[in-house]
Amino acid sequence: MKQVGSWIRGRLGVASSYALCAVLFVIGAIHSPGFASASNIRQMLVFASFVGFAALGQTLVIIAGGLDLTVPWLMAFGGIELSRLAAGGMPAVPAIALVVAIGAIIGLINGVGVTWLRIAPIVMTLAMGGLVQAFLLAVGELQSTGDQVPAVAVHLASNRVGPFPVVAIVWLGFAVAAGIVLSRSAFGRRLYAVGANDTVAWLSGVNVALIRILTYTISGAMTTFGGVVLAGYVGTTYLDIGGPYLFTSIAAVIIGGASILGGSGSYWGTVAGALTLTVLSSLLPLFQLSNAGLEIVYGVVILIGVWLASTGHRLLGRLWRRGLALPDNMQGGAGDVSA
Amino acid sequence: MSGVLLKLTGVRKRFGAVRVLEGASLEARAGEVHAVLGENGAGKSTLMRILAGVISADAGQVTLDGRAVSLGSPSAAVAAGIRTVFQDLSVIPQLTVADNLLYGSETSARGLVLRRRRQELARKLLDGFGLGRIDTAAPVSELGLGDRQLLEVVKALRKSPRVLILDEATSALSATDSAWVLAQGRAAAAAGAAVLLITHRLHEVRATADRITVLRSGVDVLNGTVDELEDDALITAMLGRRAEVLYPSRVPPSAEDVLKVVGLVAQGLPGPIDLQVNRGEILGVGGLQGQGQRELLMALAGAQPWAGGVATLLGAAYAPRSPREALRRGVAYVPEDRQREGLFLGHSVQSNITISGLGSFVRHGLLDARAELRAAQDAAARVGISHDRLSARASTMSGGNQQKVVLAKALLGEPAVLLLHDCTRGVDVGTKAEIFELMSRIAAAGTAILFYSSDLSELVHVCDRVAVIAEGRLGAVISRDELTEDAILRVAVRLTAGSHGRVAA
Repeated sequence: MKQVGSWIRGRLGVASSYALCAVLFVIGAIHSPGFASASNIRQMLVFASFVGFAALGQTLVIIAGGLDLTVPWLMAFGGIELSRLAAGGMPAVPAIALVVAIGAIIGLINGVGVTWLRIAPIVMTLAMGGLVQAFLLAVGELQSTGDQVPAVAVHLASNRVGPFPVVAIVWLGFAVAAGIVLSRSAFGRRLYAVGANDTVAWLSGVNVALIRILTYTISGAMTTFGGVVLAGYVGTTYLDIGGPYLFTSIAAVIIGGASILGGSGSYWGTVAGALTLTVLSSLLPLFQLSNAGLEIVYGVVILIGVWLASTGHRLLGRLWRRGLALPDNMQGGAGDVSA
Repeated sequence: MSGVLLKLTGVRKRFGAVRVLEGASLEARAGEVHAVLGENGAGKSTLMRILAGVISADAGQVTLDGRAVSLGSPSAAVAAGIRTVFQDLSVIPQLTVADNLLYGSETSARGLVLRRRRQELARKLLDGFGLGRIDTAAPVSELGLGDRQLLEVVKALRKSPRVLILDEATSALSATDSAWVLAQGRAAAAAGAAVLLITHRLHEVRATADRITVLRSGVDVLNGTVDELEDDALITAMLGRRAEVLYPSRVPPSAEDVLKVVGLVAQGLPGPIDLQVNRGEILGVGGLQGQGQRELLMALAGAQPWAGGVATLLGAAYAPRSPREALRRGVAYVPEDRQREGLFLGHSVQSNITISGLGSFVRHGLLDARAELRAAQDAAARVGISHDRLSARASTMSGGNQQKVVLAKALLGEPAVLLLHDCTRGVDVGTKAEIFELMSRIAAAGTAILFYSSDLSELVHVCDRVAVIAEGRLGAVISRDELTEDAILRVAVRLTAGSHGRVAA
């Protein structure tokens, strides 16, 4: 019991993000009965997984002290390039593999620019986004008609296994893998070290450049994969399809308890962040708000989430303990029960 | 001597469950230099941070000139006339020397900061303190640790303080620079200030202070004038027990060389440097501060590229291109600045210790938590860190214990060569003795150690031989029989002065 307590205490930031998500969900369920229906929950899971894919690499990049702004363009690239390859006669599965590999290479170039050429991450990844966009525009001008998204991507995005959407299961798989890599692999530990202090990491024998390059490479591949699934869900592709994910991929990571300065964070936190953002954006339209009002509430709730994950949970924890300050005999009694 | 200027009574402070100050009191008079002594963790730094307004006391009173003052923030302390020179530097590395010195007193014309005017003011200020050699237009990041500390002192003295706190301000400094700082302290006292001096070097206390207060476990246990308190009494009061022998006995090294360097040249190290370290030997690296010792150790650690020279390590060619390669070859480095180069302050002690050896704990692609814990426990036991501290954050450890963590990290891979850069700086007497004992044990087990220290007496007592570096060149290697502080200084100074002479001619 005591161990469980200290396990949770070490993860209060992440726990507070899940708590916020639960609160928003309950508000939705009370306000409108359909909110908690299986179909709505399924849909929110699918939407959240798009954020989750885009934010997986972003989590690694941010932990290592960087930032990846290529996300929206790579999302668009994933769908558009896949459709183009499929229209050219390439079978869907190799086409998906090829597109994701190209995404990884674009991420790799980001990483090389940031580490070897020492270009600031914001500048490097934004410039890369511009290049990808230029490529997509050039391709779009050559194509006369919109290409069909291959059926494999559509199935991936909309099929179910029992009550669960396939995408959500895939997402869960990625989350488990990312969680293990971050907490139990040498790569994960070196990643946190690089983000905490790259000088110390380098002097301690960590290959700082390689770690950073890997984070951008993974980000490139995962984001492109997210773009493939998103295109499959929407059924068509367009240049702005990835637009919202620039903000949400970063916000999910920060709501999940990572520091934007690097050195801390976890993918399970990011999962909470992605769920929170999705529940929030499904919830807000239920209230009769003007567009401006909706944006304001959206922003304020996100700020609350970021505050909770960074310092707010500690303050709340203190207030909580003070509220629970029981007389000595009562505390003894509680201890007996748990023992 | 005039009356009591600064008086602290019954000051208490706890951090979580740890009681750092348990009713400490202190009286300092105007015009005196008052030394505050104690082991690391005795509460000196906490007491000084309370005076500087960085943290607030849980209980107790501070009076200045008989009036109670509230020191709720650093600016309140400054307004009360209390100026502090911290051990941890507070200058801003990206700004220039001039910007740092005049920070907070913007020299402006219609909102524009006049750069030339600031340069002039800063120049005048530095010249007034006899620091003409420091370039006011250079970014502080280009200065050595020593010069940065001198800037701190100048910053603190700029507006004649009523209370001046020198919190281990000399720990990073060479003998010359320390003497300068202490002289500034004396001058401030002569001008009517109360100067609080915190240092681990008793000879500085003897040379500078008028009175002494000793803290132990958060309480003042002894106070009196410098003349009436003997060194033995001070050390006993600090440790709470009789002082053990500071310097360990040494096993004579073997004649078999581990690392041999010929003609090493690197940036900041015009060299060429020829060195040889044997199995079980502690080779001292000495000289005035900033003469290329850092560059020498960094080059050997793979942290700085070599411009020339060859080396052999255990009989094989050695030219590391990265710290990673050096570590793989068995050369471990304990850097100069433990907080910025040695530790992940926010990570646990265990993560800090094992970071360089993670590869050896991997089983089936993942870290074997038990193997890692065992290795961390072994390394911690070797340096004297108790196992229950392994899960604590490195930032919560005292300076001495932080240094032990860095040492444990370096020892994890059983290095053949250990490069130590001033690893006893800012460390209390008790921990110092432990570190020397550790070095002696490691050397006896066959490791070759290069030990740079800014404290000459340490080099003399701990090392088998000392290589004196001056202006990036090897002055001389002084053998055990001829090893005295005097001999080291002679080589260091003659070489430096000699080459200046050549330049002038």
